Amino acid sequence: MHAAVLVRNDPAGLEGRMAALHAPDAGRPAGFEADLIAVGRDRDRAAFRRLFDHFAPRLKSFLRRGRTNETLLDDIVQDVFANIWRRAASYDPAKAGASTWIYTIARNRRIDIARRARPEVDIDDPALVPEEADDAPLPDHQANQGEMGRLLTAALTGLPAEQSDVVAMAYYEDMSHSEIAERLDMPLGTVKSRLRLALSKLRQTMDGLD
Amino acid sequence: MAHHHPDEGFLLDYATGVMAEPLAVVIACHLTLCPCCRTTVAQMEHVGGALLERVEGEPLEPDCFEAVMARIAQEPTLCPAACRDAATSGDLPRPLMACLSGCSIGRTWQRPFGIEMQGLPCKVPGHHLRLLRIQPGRAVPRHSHDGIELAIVLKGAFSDASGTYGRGDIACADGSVDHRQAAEPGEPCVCLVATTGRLTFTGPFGPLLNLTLRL
Repeated sequence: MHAAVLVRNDPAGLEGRMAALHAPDAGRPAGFEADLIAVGRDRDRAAFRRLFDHFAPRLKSFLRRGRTNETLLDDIVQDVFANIWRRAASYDPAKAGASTWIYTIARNRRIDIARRARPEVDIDDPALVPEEADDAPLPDHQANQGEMGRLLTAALTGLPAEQSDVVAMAYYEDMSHSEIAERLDMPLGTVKSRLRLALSKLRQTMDGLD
Repeated sequence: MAHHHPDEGFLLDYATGVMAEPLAVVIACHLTLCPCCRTTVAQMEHVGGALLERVEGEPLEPDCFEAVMARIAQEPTLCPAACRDAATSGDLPRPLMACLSGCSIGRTWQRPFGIEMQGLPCKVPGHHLRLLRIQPGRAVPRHSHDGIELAIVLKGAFSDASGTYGRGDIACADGSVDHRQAAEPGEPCVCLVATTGRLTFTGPFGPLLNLTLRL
C-alpha cells in the first residue's frame, strides 16, 4: 500500500498513468481520475461536469447522513465542488482514486463547518520520515485505484451488520469512536474491537493489491 | 522509526476528521514521523472514498452546477505554495510548528519541580496541549488522569512502567493508568502532550502538587 508515498515529478510517468487509466479493465470506465487530472491541468469544464454529475448527488446523500443542516446541503455540495476545482492541480492519482480524494475534500469542508482545525501532515516537511525505498510505487500503481475501489466495495458489503453499522456511523455520521459507544450504549472497548475487526478486513483487501 | 503507535480508534477519528485539535496535533506529528501509520490513515481514507461511491445519490437543485461555476468565477485562485511557511527547522514536525507560530517559545517555560513546561494555544474547552522538556534523570511526578493523555516524544526518550519511548513514539494513558515518566540518560526529553480533563498527582507530594499546579 503506497498511498502516502512522496510524489515524483515525472511527466512521462504521468502519461503512462493516464494511458493505464483509459485502458480496458484499468479503473472505472468513466475514468474519474483522468477527469480530475484534466480539471487540474487544463481547467477542463466537460471533465468537471462529469465529476459533478457522478459525485455531487452522492455527496449530498453522504452529507445528509451526517449532522449537516438540511437547508445547507446544496450549498455545501457547491462549496466542495468549488474546492475540487481549485485544488484539482494538487490531485495525485498515485495516492488516491478520485472518490477517495473527493471524500477528503468533503471531510475537510465538514471540519471547517464544525469550526474545528485540522493539523495536516506536510509531505515536504524536513522532519518527515519517508517510507522505505522498497515500498516506492510501481509506475502502474494508479491502475490499481479503480480495482481497489471495487474490492473495497465488495469487502464493505461482506461485513457483518454489527461491524458495518459502526463503520457507517464513523464515516457517514461523523462520529468519534467514543460518541458511537454512547449512541449504541456499549462499552468503548466493544466499539473499538468492532471497528478494529472491520478495518482489518478492509485493509487486508487493500494490502492484497500491492 | 517509531515503535509505539496510537490505537487504531485514534487514527480513524483523525482520518474521518472528528478529532479535537490538540489530540489531532499529536497524531499529525506522529504521522509525520511514522510512514506505517500514514499508510493506515490513507487506507482509512480509501474506505471513506468507497463509502462515498457506494451511497445512492439524490437529486440536487436544477441550477446547482451553474452555481458552482459562478462561485468559482467570483473567487481568486489560491496559491497553496505561497501560503506555506518555508522556514522551519527539520527537528519539529510542521503540525507542531503551526501551533507555535505566534507564541514566543523559550520565554514562557514554567519550571515546576525541574520539569520545563510550555502551554500552547488551545481553543478546545477541557483540552490542553503542552510541550514538556525533562532533563535526564528527572521525572514527571506520579499522576493519574480523569481523561486521556496522548503524548509524542520529539527528542530524547522517557520511560515509565509500560516501556521506553523514543522520537516519534506515542504514549497513551487514561484513567486506568497511574504513572511517572522519567527521562532517559543522554539529551533532555522533549514531548508534546495533549490531555483532556485534569491530571491528579498521586505520589507522596500529590496533595501539594494538586493544589499548586492545577494541571
